[in-house]
Amino acid sequence: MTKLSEASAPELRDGVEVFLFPRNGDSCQVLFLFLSNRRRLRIECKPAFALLLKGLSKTQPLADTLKESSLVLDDETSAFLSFLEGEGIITLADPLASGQLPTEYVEQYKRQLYFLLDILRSPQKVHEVQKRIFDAQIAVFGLGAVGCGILQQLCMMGFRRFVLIDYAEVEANDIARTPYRTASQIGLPKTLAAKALVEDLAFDPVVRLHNTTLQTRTDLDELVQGTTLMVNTADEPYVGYTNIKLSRYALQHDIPLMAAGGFDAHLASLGELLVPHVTPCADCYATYFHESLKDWKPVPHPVKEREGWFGGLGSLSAFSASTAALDILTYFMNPEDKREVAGGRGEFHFHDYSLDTFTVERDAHCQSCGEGRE
Amino acid sequence: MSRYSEEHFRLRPSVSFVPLPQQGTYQFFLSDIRQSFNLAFADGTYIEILSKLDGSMPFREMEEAYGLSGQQLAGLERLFDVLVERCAVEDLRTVAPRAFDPFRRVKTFIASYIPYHAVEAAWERLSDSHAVVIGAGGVGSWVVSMLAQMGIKNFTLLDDDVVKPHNLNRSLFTKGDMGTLKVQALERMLSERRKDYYAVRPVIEKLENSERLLSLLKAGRHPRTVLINCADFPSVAHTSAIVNEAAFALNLPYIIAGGYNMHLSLVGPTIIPGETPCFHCISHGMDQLKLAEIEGAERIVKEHRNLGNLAPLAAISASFVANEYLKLLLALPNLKPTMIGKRGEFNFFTKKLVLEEYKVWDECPYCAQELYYENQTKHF
Repeated sequence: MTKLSEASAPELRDGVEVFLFPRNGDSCQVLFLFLSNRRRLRIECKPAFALLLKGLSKTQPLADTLKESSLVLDDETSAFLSFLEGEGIITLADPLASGQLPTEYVEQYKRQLYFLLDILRSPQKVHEVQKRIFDAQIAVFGLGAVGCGILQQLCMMGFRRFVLIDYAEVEANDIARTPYRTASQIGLPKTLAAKALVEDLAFDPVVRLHNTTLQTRTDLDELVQGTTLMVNTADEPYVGYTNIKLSRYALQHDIPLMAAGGFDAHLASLGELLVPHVTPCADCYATYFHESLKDWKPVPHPVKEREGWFGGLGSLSAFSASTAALDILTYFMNPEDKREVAGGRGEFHFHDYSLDTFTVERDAHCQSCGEGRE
Repeated sequence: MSRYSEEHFRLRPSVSFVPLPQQGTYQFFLSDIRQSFNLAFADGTYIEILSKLDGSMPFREMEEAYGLSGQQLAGLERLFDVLVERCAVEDLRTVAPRAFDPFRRVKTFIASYIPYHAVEAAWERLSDSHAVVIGAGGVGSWVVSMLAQMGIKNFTLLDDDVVKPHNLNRSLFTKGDMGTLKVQALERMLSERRKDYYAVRPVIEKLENSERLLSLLKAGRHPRTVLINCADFPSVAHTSAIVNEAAFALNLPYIIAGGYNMHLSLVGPTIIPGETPCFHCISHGMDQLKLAEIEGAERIVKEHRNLGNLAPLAAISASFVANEYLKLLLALPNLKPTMIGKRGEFNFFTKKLVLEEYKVWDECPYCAQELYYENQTKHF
């Protein structure tokens, strides 16, 4: 924490609105509204501190602010200023100053740093989170509508080191749900189109490509070595299979896995972040759905070739990709506090924007992550 | 002879046909839109027909193939009336060309709301509409991209700003766009998606007043125009009042996007002049709500604030705008714009959208004058 002195210039943080209520006897009520997350904090303080808050909205030395509010920097005032700093209401120094991250990077992502400051309240924590993002390597399986949407947003959040895995090529119909340059990239491997996307957006990008599909014999060690977090959107042969294969590997190597939503029949669904031995794993989810859908057995579909005949909108894929990106950011904000990651899934309803969410618990007998594991 | 004689019906590939516990009752689950309806069948022949409905057999051959009586055939025709209307079946001949269509996903999606025979015409109306996007920044750039992905061809983009490094964390610009006008960067983005398909009219101006907006709109008059306000300078209230004025003068629907500074996860309202609460009605309603919380309080305001923002929140706000645009253009009784008379906050921790509802303000200078609309020509 920067040391308080009369020469320091603490300042009201930009992301907080302050409402001062009229004096009531010896106290004033104050409402702080945090703009990014709409958090509200109400306090009561002595009227001089309300004046101090006004002074903190100006860029000036603390000595001047104290003078305007007839205060001195005694223990009580110091404690009040420390409280304001701890709550993320004031900053004691430039919150963007960092010795850990390149200056150009901070400039590119400064609006995100301000956002994180709203949530984390401490500039030091913000820089720690962003440094973890700067250093992380993310493996993205599947570079279709949701996979490349997540990749795009990860770049926009400051991630820069990626392993990209897909076997397919860009097709004309990718115009409807991906940001690929379909005017010139049709026929190009999606890994190359995605690499171009990363190079367009990310700061100092480092990208490894694998033109392959996930099969039983696929050696994941070779693909994802050094990976901090995996993202799965690969739906070949089907998404249940790829999630389970990656989840089992994730459990062995203690790597979190974002099993994204947004695939056919779940066009804007929320995915789930699978944190090994903390959240349910993909096998737990499979068991849950097997049990909960045991009485829901559709007649075998008369149309045998259904691929490509499901609907989709770019806006729905972007919703799924965005919620996955938010989950990943939340994980990077709280890598130690794993209670932040809740098991569950949600289905978004286009007609009324309701979200049907439900919680999935870990399966105690799970063969992969529970007592049943070998 | 049946009107369906030549139809090669198939169960739509995204529809599941599911037996329910109650004898003879089946669910039709439209998985694209997560909605369903149930039908009870007294005659098992219909279940057999639907279980095999893959589009290979024309309707006229079903009588013989399934040994149907005249009564059963009439019943089957009535059943298809329902299943066509509820978007559970489609004629393979009609939809087959879609396999090669770049926008097939969009068409297939709207085919969950519109019977198969009306999908092409509906999509043509949608794609030939005109989006006027005011403000090409954090949310505006995503809105343009998502509408282009739906196949919307015509855009007027209003913005006077150039791309700067700190825009890249949530706007859809690239490092190569640095220093370029935002509207030109977006025009280039669309041309890189499909050459000679999108028609972009860049207007390199800041939205200053309704007269200027009116003259721009009159110059580029298009029968299906929707205004989208993504401009928050000097404030969203200021720009929305201008958009409202122009929208009422020309009787055009408009959407106020959320996601701007100070309201990162806001989902704004959709407004149809004369039919729904307008910007002023909603502002008035909000003032009433806000007053209760901060009545009598002095607001401390800092000048030149650097506020936080985040890519996923911009994209989420924009996704709702694009969804609303689609609902406005389709103009279906079963899919009205959700944000009419509403304003929402998307909670990025719980992922839920909490909606506030607003009514027409009985003293609204626009909406309270019912006679005002009598001679207006509707565009929808």
